[in-house]
This record gives sequence, structure tokens and C-alpha cells, in this order.
Amino acid sequence: MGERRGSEIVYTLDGHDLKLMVAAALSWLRQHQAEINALNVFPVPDGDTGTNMMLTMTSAWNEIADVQEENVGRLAGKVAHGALMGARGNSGVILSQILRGFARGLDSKAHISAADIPVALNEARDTAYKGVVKPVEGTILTVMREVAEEAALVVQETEDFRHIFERIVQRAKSAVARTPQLLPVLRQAGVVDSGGQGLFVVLEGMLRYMQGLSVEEVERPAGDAVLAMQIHEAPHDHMTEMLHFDSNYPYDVQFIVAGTSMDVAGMRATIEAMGDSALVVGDAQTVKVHVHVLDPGIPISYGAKCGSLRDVVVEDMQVQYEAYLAEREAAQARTVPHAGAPMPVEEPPNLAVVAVVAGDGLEKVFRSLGATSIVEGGQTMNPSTAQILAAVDESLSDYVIILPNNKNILMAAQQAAAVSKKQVAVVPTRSIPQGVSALLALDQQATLDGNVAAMLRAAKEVITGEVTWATRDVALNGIEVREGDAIGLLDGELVVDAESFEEAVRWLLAEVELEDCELVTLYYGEGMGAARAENLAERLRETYAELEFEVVEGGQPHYPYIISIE
Amino acid sequence: MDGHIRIVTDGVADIPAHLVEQFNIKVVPIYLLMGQTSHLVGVSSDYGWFYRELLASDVMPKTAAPAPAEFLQVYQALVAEGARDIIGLFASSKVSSLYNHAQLAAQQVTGATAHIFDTGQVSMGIGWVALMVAEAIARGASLAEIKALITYVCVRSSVLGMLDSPEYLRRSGRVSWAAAKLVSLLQIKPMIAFVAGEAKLIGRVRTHQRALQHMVDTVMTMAPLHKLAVLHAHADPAVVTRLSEALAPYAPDPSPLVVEVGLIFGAHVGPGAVGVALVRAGEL
Repeated sequence: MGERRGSEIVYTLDGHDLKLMVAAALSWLRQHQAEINALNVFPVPDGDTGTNMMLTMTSAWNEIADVQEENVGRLAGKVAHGALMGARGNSGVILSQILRGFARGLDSKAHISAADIPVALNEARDTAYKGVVKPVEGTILTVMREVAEEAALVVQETEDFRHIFERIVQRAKSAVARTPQLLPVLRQAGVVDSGGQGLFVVLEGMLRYMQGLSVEEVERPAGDAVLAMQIHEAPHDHMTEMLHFDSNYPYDVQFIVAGTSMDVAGMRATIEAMGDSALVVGDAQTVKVHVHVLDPGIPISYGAKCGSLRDVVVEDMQVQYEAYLAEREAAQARTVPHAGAPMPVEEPPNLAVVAVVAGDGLEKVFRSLGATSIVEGGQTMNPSTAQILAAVDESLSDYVIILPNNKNILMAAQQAAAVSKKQVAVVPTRSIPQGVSALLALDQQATLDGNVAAMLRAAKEVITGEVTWATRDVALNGIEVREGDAIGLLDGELVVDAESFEEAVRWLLAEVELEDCELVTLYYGEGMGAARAENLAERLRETYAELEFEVVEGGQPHYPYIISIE
Repeated sequence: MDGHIRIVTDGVADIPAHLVEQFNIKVVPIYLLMGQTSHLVGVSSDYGWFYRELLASDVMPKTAAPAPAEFLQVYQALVAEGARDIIGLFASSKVSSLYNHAQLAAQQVTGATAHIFDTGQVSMGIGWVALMVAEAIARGASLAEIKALITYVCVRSSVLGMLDSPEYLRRSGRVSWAAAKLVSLLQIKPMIAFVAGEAKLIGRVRTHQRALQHMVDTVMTMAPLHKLAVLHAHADPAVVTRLSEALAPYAPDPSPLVVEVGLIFGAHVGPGAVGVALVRAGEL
């Protein structure tokens, strides 16, 4: 098994098959990334669904790229872990939940047959639905649900995986095509759901592996891994640790076998198959063995059959790893300044705030208001769960608040909060102005819950305007937009189409009920220049004498102006 | 005996002129330095010149406590008017040297006993202590009752408010954390509470509306109240009226006493600041 599939009937799948299916899905996603990105409801340059799902899948692949795991359930577990840690954007997070449910459904089975597929897909569907607070139909969830439904039907007719996958891919395709009927906003924008399309592409990539298609893509895993590393620029120490420690092979086993006319090559092949990081060297009389395994008894009893053992060392890497983590935590605790005398008992611990922000200016603003760490990211660059988690775990407090500042980063932030061992809360800010407003409400003396409530209330007290350019022609909310036009969004809704960015700002303000407003802040983006923004503010002051206008360098990409109205 | 117990306070106390007169309270004036010019500021009702000068120049006002000898002069003047016991109520010793100077002078007073108290307060936070003591004296309270009352009122006093700009407080140098906590790249209006002798940052807002809401919410948690005043430093009258109306339900009187703060406190909070001074009733 594990060879490229052609016309033969496939009754079972093992870990090796699943690994190649993941590689195929990743390649296929990469090829279709741009077209998935283009399926954006708003014609704004933040269509990242394809990229996010591809990066999530890349992280899943990195987890298994160097692994030989025949047990399909265990391999699926690794895939799920990789996807979880690398999940980006809401679609990436849902994909990671699908993979997690799928792995759970396989229940560590060594290999699977047709009947296992609907069980795993049902679990995948349930996990995906549970991960969303308010599930919406006409999305990736619908596609997942229909795929699970189809799997249950098709296994009554065939046990051949190729037929099963042909049918579920077909069903996924028609489910995607129906998404605009279920979700009016898709119908209006004239697109199908991007996340649903991404899931279809993943399944289709897997099917193509079974059909023996796209072989050249599938056989490129080494290249994929290199590319993936380039995408994950400078992985955090935390990530490196996670990837280096493989909890599926917790024992480090070393011994020397002394014998006569031993078969070194044969021993190497046998030992390699037992686990990870195998090293088997020597000659017919002496062989040194080193391997990471799940059960140390297996290589030791094998070695004893080959000759006489000496220098046997078994180390529990889990214990070592935990000791290392504990030591690191202690070291971190030591660096936290203590004020000499015993801490007063009633002193609540200080809170750390992790904010997701793009642009130098905005980063400075968030830091000046008390954000303790910044994760780079925003409209077109959604950080992964792992990146947010690393910032959370590295912060010098056990109480952490995350400000995602973008609706598409919300789920990755929530996932990071769920995974972290710290007390973490996400204040679901959907824009930079909401994030600033929330951060202003931060009270280092109050509890985590008290802060979350106050910050959430503060976030709702601000109106967000965003000005960007249209990435395609569209008619939405009764507004005709041509590609390249300046457009303005008010609290995430497209409301104006204009000749220039400045005109878009002006028209956005005209859409707002300004009666109770006092202050308008213009955060100007990358390449805009202070003079141009100041000039705009000056003209706006003439129109709105009762309002105060403040100009702040944001430096954010893609959005020439972000406007806070309060 | 009428006039045997007299009250003296300082120019930070911000008691309105008509109440100073009604209760025969003595106010020790404080030095206000504007560049090279020094003014001795006591009770006044014309503050326009100060804010005009402030806005027209880059000069940061500075304040200085009078020397102990000047306090002594005030005490002796009260003795000359027939005082036997002098109740001195002064600004928090953690932010000014007024209490120390007042205390030093008290040891030299002849013909009366000066009882000097650190109210732990500023502005009408001191003012309410003085006024509640004055009311007690008018009722004929004993010295012991007055001392107990002072302790009672001081721990129940709070001043909270919004600064239109953090600059004045920061540059006054009287609040140690101001430099670290009030600097930001955005316009921020800090919300400050003055409780138990010290200023604390209790919030940061960007608009008057939210500042007022914050204050109303905070006052609500502190009700019921013995006393409530709305304070402002040359602020927009519309803002003051809005705050006053919003707080009316919590005022022990039909509406809060509206007080324009004096130049000494005003120099620290800066023009545009609005706030409240209150005394909580009941158990803390």
C-alpha cells in the first residue's frame, strides 16, 4: 500500500496513504489558492481564505513531512495537531477543527475501511459546528455537513475508497454551488462561499491522489516543506519546541548489540520501522542502536534476539521535556520583578494584552496604550493560532487578553485562548478603532472578567470607517463598484464608492449619524503621508466645525484611511 | 460659644465665596507662579484672566505653599477675633507641603489651640470636610464631636474627574505615575480619582460623553451620599450642565452644588477638567 493509486480497488487506508493524501490536498490548495482568495464577498483586498487554508494545511503537512507512521489514526492526530497550531483566519480554524474531528473519529485505528469514513466525517462535522458560536448555513459548515451525509449513503453501496471519494467530492461541489442560495450576501456579491470552495479543493486533491492524477504535485513533498518554512518566517522558539518534541515517540532508547555475523542493513530497516530518529550503525560484530519509540520494550527485545545487549539506556523524553518547560517557566518567573517585600495578598495579578496589529504607527499606538505584545497581522495577513499562542505564552502574566482587531482573526485568537494553559480571554474587536477603544478601558487593577466586560462595552462605543480600493467590479448594497475605485466601509459594510480615498472618507462621514459624536481619528496608511492626511482633516474641520479631528500615522497596508468616530 | 471654634483651610479647598462668607471660614492663600510673576491666590470668583494667560502662552503655572509664619499670622488673626479652638483642614500631605507648614505654625500659636488635620483630599474634597464641620459648629457640636466628624468625613470623601488633557497634571510633578501612564500617541482624557490622599488613574476616555458616563456610573456605585458637588475648571458650560443633570438623582439636595475650581487646583488639572466631589453616607 501507499503506492500511487490507479485502477485497483482500494479497501483500506493506512497512515502512509493519509500522508500522501494530505500532501496532495496541500498541492491542490496551493494551485487553487488565488481563485479561492478571489471569492470574497466584499471587493476589498482582504480575500485570504485560500491563503489561510493553504497555510493551515502547510502546517499540518510540516507535522508529518518527516514522519513514517503506518497507523492512520495516529497520523491523523498529527495532522490535526499541525493544523491546529498553524490555523489562520476563520476558514483555517474551521478546517483545523474538521481535521481534529476527523482524527478523533478515526480513534487511533491502524488502518481504516469504508465503514470508518462516515464515522470520522460525522465527528469532523460536529467538531466544526461546535467551534462556531452561531453556525451559518451556506458556508464551509454546510459543505462539511453534506459531505458527511453523502459518505453515510455511499458506504451502503461500495467499499472502494475511490468511489466513496468520487461521490463525496461530487457532493461537495454541488454543496458549494448552492451556497449562494443559502446565504444572501453571497448571492448579492455573485460568489460562492470561499471556505466551502477551499474544503472542496482539499477533498478533490485527496481524490486525485487516489485516482493517480496530479502525480507530479503529489511527489513534491520535499519542495513543499521548504516552501512552508519560507512562509513561516522565523518560527518562534515555542513552535520549534513543539515541532521537535514528538509525544508519539516519548522514549529515547539506546543500546549496543554484540554478536556474530549480524545483518546491519536488516537491523536498520527493522529499527527504523519501530519509530523515529533511528540511528543504526556498526558491523557484523557490534551494532549501536538509537531510536525514539512508543514502547521501549520492542527494540530492546529485538536487539536481544540479535545478540547480547550492553549499555542499555532508556530515557523518557516526556519527563525531560516537562522538566525543561518547568525550568523555563521558573526562569521566566525569576525575571518578573518583585518588589522586595512579600507581595500584598490582595494585589491582583497584572494583565497582559496581546493585540493583532499591522503597521508601524498602529503598533506604536497600541503599545503606548498598554498592549504588552503585538502580533503582526491584519486584513491580508492573518496570524496563525500558533503565533498568537506564542505571544500569549511568552507574556509575563498568567492573565492575558487578546485583541484580534479583525473579524477574520477572531477564531484563531479564540483557538489560541482555548489551547493556552493561561487564563486567556478574547475581546472580539473587529477593527482597529474597536481595539483602541477596548484597550483604553483596560484597568490593571480589575479582574480579567471585569476587564473583558468593560473592554467589550468600550469597543461597541466606536464607529469604524475603512477606506480601500475595490479589487473587482461588483454591485453590493445597491452600490455599483468598479475595480480600482476608492470604496468606504462602515462597520464592515460597503457603503460608498468614490473617486478618491479622501472623497470616500468624506462620504463615509456623511453616512454617519454624527449628532452624539465628538472625535474623529484618521489613521493614515502606508504610503499616504502626513501632509495629505492633515490636509484632509483641515477640510473636514471646515465642514464639521463641532467635531474634533485627530490625524495619526497608522502605517497599515491596503487601507489608506482607517477612521474612528466616537 | 459663638466664634470660639473657627475653621481655617487652604486655597486648594475651592469652597465657593458665598459659603466661605456664610460660615466665616478662613482661607490661607497660596502662591501661584506664572513665569516670573507671582500671585497670592485665595478666594476669588474671577478666574478668566488665568485661563486666558494660560492659553495665550507656553508658561506652565507652578504653585507653592506659604511659609509657616504666614499660617501663624492667620491663626493669630483668628485668636484676635475670639477663637479658642482652631480647626485646620488642609490638602493631602502626599501632594503638598501645606499640612506640614500648617502643623509647624500650630505649635507656636498663642491664646488658642490649633487642631490641624490632613484631610487626604484636594479641592472640594477638603471643602466638604470644612463645610460639614461648619454645619456641626453651627449646630453647637463639641470639639470631640467635631474631631470624630472629621475622621468620619475624610474616609468618605472622593474627588473624581476627567482631565481634558493630561499635560498639566503630568508637568506639575505632583503625581509620580503621571509621566509613565499618561503619555500616548492619541489624545486621551484621563479619569482620575483622588481617594485616601492620592491620585489614581481610574480610566482613559477620548470623549466628554464617555467621561460623563464613566463619572455617573462611578457615582452611582458610591451612592447614597451626604454631599455632592460638580466641579469644573473653566469647562464648557454645556458639559457642566449635562453632568449636573445626570447626577441630580444622586445629589442629597435637589441638584448638585456646581463649583468652578480655583486657580491652584485648576493649575494642576488644566482647563476643561470636569469632575465631582462627594461624601459617601452610611457604611463603607
